[in-house]
Amino acid sequence: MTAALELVGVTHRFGETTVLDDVSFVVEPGTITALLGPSGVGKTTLLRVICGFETPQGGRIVVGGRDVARDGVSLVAAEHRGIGLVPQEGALFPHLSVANNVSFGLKQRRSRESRERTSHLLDLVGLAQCADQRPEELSGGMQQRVALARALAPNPSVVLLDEPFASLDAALRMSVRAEIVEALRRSGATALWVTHDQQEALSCADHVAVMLDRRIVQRGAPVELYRSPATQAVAEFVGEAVQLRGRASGTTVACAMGELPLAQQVVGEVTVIVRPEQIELDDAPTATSPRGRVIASRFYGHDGEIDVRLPNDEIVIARLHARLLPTVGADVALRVTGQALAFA
Amino acid sequence: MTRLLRAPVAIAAPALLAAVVAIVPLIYLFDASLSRGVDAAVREVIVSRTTILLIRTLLLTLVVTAACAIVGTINAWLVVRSSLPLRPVWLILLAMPLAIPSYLSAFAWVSWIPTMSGFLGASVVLTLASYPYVMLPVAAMLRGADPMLEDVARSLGVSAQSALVRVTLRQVAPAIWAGSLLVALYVVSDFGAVAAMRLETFTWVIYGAYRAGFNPARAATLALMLVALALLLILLERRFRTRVTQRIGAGTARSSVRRAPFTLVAPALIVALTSIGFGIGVPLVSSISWTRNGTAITDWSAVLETIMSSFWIGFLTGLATLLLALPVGILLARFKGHLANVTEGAVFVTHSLPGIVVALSVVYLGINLVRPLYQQVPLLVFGQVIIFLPLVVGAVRTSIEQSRVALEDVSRSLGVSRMATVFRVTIPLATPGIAAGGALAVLGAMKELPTTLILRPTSVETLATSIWKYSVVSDFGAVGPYAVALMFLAALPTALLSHVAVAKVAR
Repeated sequence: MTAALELVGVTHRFGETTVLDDVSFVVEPGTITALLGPSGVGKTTLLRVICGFETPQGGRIVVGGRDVARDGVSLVAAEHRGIGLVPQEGALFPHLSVANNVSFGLKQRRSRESRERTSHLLDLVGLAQCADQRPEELSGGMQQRVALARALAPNPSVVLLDEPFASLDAALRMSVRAEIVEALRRSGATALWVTHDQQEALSCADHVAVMLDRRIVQRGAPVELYRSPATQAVAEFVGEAVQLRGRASGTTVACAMGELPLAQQVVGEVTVIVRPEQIELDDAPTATSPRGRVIASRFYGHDGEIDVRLPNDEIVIARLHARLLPTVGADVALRVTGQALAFA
Repeated sequence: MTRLLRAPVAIAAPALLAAVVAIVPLIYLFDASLSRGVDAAVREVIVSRTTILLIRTLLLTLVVTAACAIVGTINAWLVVRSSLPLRPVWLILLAMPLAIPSYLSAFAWVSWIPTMSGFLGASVVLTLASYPYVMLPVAAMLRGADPMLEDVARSLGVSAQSALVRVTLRQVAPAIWAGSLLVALYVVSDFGAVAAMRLETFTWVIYGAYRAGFNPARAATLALMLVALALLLILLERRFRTRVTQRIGAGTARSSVRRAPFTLVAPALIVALTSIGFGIGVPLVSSISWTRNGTAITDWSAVLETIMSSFWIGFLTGLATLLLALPVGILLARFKGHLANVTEGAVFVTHSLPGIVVALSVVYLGINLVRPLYQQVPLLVFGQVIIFLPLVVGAVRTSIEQSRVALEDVSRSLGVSRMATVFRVTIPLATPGIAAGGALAVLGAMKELPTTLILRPTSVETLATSIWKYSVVSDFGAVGPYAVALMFLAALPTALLSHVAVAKVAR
């Protein structure tokens, strides 16, 4: 099967600064891939390069089996690449109605097919009743859905979403995110979704490509990424991580939390990483159970977290059911479930 | 984000044409100035009468610019931040002096108080004519400035008066500088008011040297000095212009209107009433009374014909200027590279060319290169385009810069070509700026005097030249109808201009 989008060794510089360093990944048709990375890591530049607003100095970009840029030359102009774009904050055309925004990229905008396509897409994003409204009359979430409908209208090979919910407040973000994913799934579109929010990436995407320091460091299914991160940096960035010093001896590692089984074979001085949800209160402690004093407690409603200072002054975070949260100052015994990660 | 893309030919070609058009006058100036050799030119610069001329021009510029900065800022504050009723009406009334040519005001004042003529009269007339250049940008910036800062200052124990000075005035400082530059350039290049007030400044002496006909080299050398002076002003403003501060975080938009204390509103109101009374009251009342006294001898068909030619020349100039300014504005706002730099430089230099200088160089061009067009409408329009291009480019460019680049990117990602995007996205979004630019050019062309005097076809009279023709011989009864017509005709673009200038920031 031809990839909807493929990047091979894409490199881009602004003057002396390298912004993209040997970036390679594949987006399969009909899937949602999240491009996850912290702010300022080059994600937006990568989108602009894929769209054709910047020409990368090296590497190859293939859209639907066709080379659009290769070795520092743009072969296909932005308007002919067939790549839909949903920018930050939607960026609807303020001078056009919702329907005219959606039909903007269609040929023969006044034809019957165009009108049908427009109303079909507005249906798809659940905004059929808003066709004649002006963009400024819509809420932020609705504007995002119109922006998606507009990007999907010309049937692009792939839709790029650039931090689409950055401007929405937390409560709204969840529901709009669900609606957008739903609409993308129903339309069968291929999407590359740029975000710095790891929860968003893990929950919405089929695949996640993690971008750190100008390059893609790992690509895989969300579960794979969380369970077996390729590097310590990925482990720290994707999900919360408790770090401990340890000495690994093949399949186990010795650290302040005791002798823990390892997910992969390592030997020597390592940084041990466990997830806060792996750390539990030990209700039947033994003499060897790790112990510590609670120095902070955070109540989130459904659950909560405590910071525990171990005897060697290392600090671990445990995620607990809200009703189990001990008070600050209490001495607790802990245990670790599952396997730990270790990086040399 | 920098955009290093090359501009499409359809934008690059007209922009380059605009750059060439803008540079034409300078070529003439150097050629004519050096026609009697470098020594003669240098001698012209260092003679003592030139020094006196320079000092007088500088002093006038300084006095008028300072006065405009104060009056314009106070008026802007009154129409944006006070709780005065009917503030939109006040804004338009306060902007109306833009509709009145400076020479008309000057003649009105001199015919009312003959002893006013000279430095004092020129200062008063030019201040009243050009404070809107400060008021409009300051009002626009005040509209967009975060009123919360003033509230924060008050909560920190600062009085309303000092909050105004320590916070709000700082916020709008860039607009005050920018407006003051426009005023200074206007004063340096004004011909009509100083001529009517019989104050010998550069422009009047240049006109005299040209009219006398025997010394084009002197006229050109003085003109070059004038250009240098104007360039210096532009550089000075760039040096002192402070950065625009932006509000951090969105927050909720709140009304910028504050219930200012009476001790602040009362003096501001006096300034505003004085501006309106003297700025539009004096010329309007004079013109109407002249008309009443002179109706018996007025040839109304001639007046009508003059109105039509003024209208046409204004319309053609507005259209031609916009057609050139649009590609230049798009180029400067959206593209980087050699072409953009060259064009920006050319337009930048043009801003320093006074009307009289442009007129002289276009005459030279007409006589030497396009003889059949000399003293024909196309050449007149050409000259006026050069004069108004920088202002119109400024308006268009700002407007385009304010619209989001992301919208153009989206358009292209939807399969719309770069040129089609210009027409379907860029231009519609910049409509307010384009309208303001067009209004500026039309308004300018209708009031413009020296270029029209020199370049118009001999058979054609415009409202401006008619007012001038009768005024210089003190036949005010004949001036009246033309003056009234010009003021009413110019009121429309002025109202549009002030509305757009202040409204666009409210979004």
